[in-house]
Amino acid sequence: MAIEGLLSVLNPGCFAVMLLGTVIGIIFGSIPGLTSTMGVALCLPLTFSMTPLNGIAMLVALYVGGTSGGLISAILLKIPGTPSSVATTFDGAPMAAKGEAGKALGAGILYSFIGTVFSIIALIFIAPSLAKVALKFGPYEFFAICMFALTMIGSMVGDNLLRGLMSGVAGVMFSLFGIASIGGAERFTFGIRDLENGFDMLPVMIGLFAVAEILKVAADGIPVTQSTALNCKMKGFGITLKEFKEQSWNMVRSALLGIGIGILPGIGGATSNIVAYSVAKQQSKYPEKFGTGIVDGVIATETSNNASIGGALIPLLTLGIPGDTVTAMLLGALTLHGITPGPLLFKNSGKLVYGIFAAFIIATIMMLIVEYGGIKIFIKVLAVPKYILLPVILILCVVGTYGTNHSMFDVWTSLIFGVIGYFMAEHKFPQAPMILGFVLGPTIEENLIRGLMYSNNNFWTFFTSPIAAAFMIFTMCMVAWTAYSQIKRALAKQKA
Amino acid sequence: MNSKKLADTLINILLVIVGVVFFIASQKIEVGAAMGQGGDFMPKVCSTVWLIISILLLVFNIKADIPPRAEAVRIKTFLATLGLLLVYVIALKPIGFVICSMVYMFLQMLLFVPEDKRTKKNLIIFAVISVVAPIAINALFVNVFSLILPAGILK
Repeated sequence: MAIEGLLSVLNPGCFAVMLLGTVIGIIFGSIPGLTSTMGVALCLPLTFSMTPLNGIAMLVALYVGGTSGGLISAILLKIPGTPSSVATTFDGAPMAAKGEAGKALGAGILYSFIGTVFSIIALIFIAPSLAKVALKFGPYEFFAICMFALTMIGSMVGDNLLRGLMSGVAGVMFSLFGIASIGGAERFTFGIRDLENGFDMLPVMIGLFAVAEILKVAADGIPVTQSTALNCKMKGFGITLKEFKEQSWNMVRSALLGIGIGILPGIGGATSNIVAYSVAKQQSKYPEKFGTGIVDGVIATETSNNASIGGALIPLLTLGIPGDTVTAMLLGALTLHGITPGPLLFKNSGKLVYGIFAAFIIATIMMLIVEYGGIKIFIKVLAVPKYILLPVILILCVVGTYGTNHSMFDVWTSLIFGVIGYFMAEHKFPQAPMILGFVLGPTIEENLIRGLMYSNNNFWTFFTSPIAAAFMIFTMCMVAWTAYSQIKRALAKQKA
Repeated sequence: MNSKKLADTLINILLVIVGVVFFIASQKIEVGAAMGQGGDFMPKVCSTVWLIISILLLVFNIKADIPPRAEAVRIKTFLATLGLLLVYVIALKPIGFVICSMVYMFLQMLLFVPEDKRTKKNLIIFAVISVVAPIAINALFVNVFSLILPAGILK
């Protein structure tokens, strides 16, 4: 059946639609404001006239290209192309400013490829058993895991723990706006009807990064270092074999984090890239270098966000549960083509499943070739003066924010969060904790409330689940460790 | 108190005020009959934590020794950009994406371009890009991807 599935993809027609999907995905991923979710939504109607396998193969290729494409603008413009590449800006952009744009792009592309390969292996070999474990997770486990992920804020706060915490709390707070998912209570709507649905992730991210960058350039002027990145030369993917060996644990760890986070419903690449970056920084021998432009940060984020793709596909194909917004749309596409994902899919449509796996592998190789071939073109983007580039990006952001829900409220949201983002950067409040808080906030709330319902308001019952208890203990240890290291650092500073 | 410290203090005061607003608003959330905790629980917890952190930030900021900002903020360009963005968003729906984007892009480029590069040739380039880019983007997304963008007066 596996060979039959592979053969079904090996035809020029399927290759052509997949190449188209990969290119559209990379373009959508690389332009801030346009995401792979939007790309899949817009291309879904194009697949109606195709065979089910061709249609799904094109969308999978778009998903792979879109997730990786975000690294291009994250590195070159310091504006993440998608929520999955937020943490790529932390070290990718400083590398570009140092004249290492080629190396950052090369490493980002290579490790996006490696991350996807890891997730394909996980998808093919351990999908059913992994999905079964994830299915057993209830509110206690989800709450504990998300709380643990939230403690990653600790490694992103830099010198000021309070500012980082403020940013994280603000992220959770903004995610609570609108009608509560459980109970339907109206919160912080202040009489504005549009606020009933709360804030969407995309306009918030566009505001915090793209609009804030425009306001920053307005206030500080165009940075003079812009043209240095153009002089870069690189061999292969920009990293040496020695560096590759040194980064092997970073790569494996980030891939495992990406797959694990991808499997969990509701959270995916947007969370995994920040978590993987934080863990890489915490476990590094030189954490102080993170944020100054080192390749370790780019490797961690780009491996993990692409590894989340396979992770998200595992519950989709084996259980029929989408792991994130793109897989939710893929679920729609499968249903439209008359396929019902779930435990019986492997039995009833085995050929198609293996065809999807094969398409996933081919799309990954296509992504590598197209992106690598395009590096020189991408770097030329830096040659376009920022006073021309930024206004063009802004109108593309408007297309993305308005186009997703056809809502002017989303455009206003990005403007308001742009002002917030500008003042945050100006007053040294880190933006990453806010994004992490915003992404995890709703999952934390929903599972906390649900867990309290199950346990009759007894929080200690959360500790009766071994997985939840273990993560709660990890969380407490992380909080204690962060507080300890901050106090130690403050005391050392005082002495000096 | 230097201007940087004053700005930091003002931001921290603003955070405390916003925290108070959130705290009051979270107390007023109406929850129907619910088993366990309702939709007001997290907002109450978060707004309390917000308030505590913002007060701590304010206290530490007053005590801290903050060096002045190295470079002055170009306040006029900043406010003009902010105003331009505001007008762009307000006018987007009634006037339409294409025309609004043309005007916005041209004015924004004028605001951003350094003095020495404000040449006649550059102005022509700005004008051409400002006209071509919105038309091309609109044509691509509306015609190829069937996306709806505000048409405004060009309906």
